[in-house]
Amino acid sequence: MLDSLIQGILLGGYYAVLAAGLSLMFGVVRFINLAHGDMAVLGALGSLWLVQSAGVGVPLAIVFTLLGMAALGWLMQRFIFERALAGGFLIPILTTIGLGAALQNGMFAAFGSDTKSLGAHIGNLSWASWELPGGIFVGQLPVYMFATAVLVLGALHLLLTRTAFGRAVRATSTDAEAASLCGVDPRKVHRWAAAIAVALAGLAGIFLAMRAQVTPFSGPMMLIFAFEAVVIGGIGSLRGTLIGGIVLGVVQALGALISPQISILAGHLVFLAVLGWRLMQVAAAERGGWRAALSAALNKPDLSRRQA
Amino acid sequence: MMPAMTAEPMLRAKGVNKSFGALKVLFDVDFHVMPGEAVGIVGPNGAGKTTLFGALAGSFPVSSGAIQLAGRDLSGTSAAERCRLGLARTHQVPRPFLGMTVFENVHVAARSGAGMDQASATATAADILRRTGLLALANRPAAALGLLDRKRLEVARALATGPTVILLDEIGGGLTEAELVALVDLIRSLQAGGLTVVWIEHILHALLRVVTRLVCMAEGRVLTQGDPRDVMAHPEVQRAYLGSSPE
Repeated sequence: MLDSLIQGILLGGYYAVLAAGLSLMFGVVRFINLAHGDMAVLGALGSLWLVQSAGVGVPLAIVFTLLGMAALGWLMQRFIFERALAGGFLIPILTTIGLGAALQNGMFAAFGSDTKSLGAHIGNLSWASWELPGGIFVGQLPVYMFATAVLVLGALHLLLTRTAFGRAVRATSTDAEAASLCGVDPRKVHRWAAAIAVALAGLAGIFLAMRAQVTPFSGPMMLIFAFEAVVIGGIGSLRGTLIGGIVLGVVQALGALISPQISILAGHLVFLAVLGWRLMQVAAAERGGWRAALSAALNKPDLSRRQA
Repeated sequence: MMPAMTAEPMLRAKGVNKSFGALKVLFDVDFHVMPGEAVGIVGPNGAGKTTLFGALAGSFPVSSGAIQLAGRDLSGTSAAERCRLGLARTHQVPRPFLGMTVFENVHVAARSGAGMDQASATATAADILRRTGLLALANRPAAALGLLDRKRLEVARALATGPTVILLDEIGGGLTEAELVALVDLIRSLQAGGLTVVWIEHILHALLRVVTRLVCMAEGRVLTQGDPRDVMAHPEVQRAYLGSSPE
């Protein structure tokens, strides 16, 4: 139980990094990138290619992958997403579904369908562990990943709250037109936000490649996990994203206690419960709060309001 | 006091037309403002005053015609570029960055609009907050401000971009008499510092304490412009005003 809890929390760091990019794109650029998971897989397979075929060391491969993914994000925003956004709300969805399909099949053509892992290239890190008092073993890799996730999201939080660039990002995300009248160029802000978001997807992909197996078709599942973490944690706050990732990880780990087949389903169910709760909250607020909404639903006279 | 005829206008609209789809909103609008001058724009609701500001500030491209800032043609420049060239604008309905503090709202304008470094942006933001009476609220979230303070913030943010021309859109509405006096004093002091002012305002007695020239618009056209008394006495202006909403 405690063991699963710890594993789940550590897994949550990975989900949070994956979700942060999706959340950033939605929060700042108002763009839902349905190819986010596939971009994460691209990061995973790209780093694998660098290590296995190009003979680059793992640390350098991580750096190259993150820089490459950031460049890709910037270019995607500049040449594809910007135009898609101008076409209304449906075009970005169609564009990124198509982009995701093209990425999946492109990666299949380039890398084949073999499942691959970075696990064989990181020494004993993939199985080394520490023993905690009480006989609980904690894998070193999950701990390092979680620490990296917290550091990265913390640094991103500081970037957004403490720097001039961060203020420009927040101003643009609140009101792009008013920001442009303050001299902020929203298009530039959007491009850099996309660069960060896709680099985060790449980092999540590297995490996945280290801890598990990747195939060119792993992306859609990653997208679903990212969405779930974002919805559970609430959009627009990095702390919320971290909490959302941890909740998802813990629920999956606890679900696996019952049965390995329930693990992922448990995550979906919690996601649906949170989503349902949020929708009911909105509906209740529209009817003047929970009490009014409940008494209306139960067909009783509304005690919280007097008749005028 | 009119500047010499040879001087270059600070801001100029030449034959500006604007249509949104089938709806034509501006018809051949011509007007100019000399450096350091304060010009008022009046006219009934729906006259196209705010649309004119949007066209000047680059919120959307004009359908035809030209806009010049200090002789420089602005066509093809974005709103952000115009802001950095010294053209600032406030909104009739304030649009603060709600998730940020009052200070951050002004700071981002000083950094991005005026291109200042961190230290001078901080000093400038503090100075502008003091002049606009917002210093005590500097660390409040903008979302916590009432309408009056949001209007002040709108002006403060525009000033922080280091403008040479400021477009003020109905910043006087809803203010008490004492607040109006303070606002008029602020704008006059800005103008005394060399700022060129274009002010859309329904509160004529406040407007007339600042501006030396009036432009009256109705139904997307400039009805007449010139000395405020002449403009207000113009029969068409009288009709346009009395015809829509008695003031």
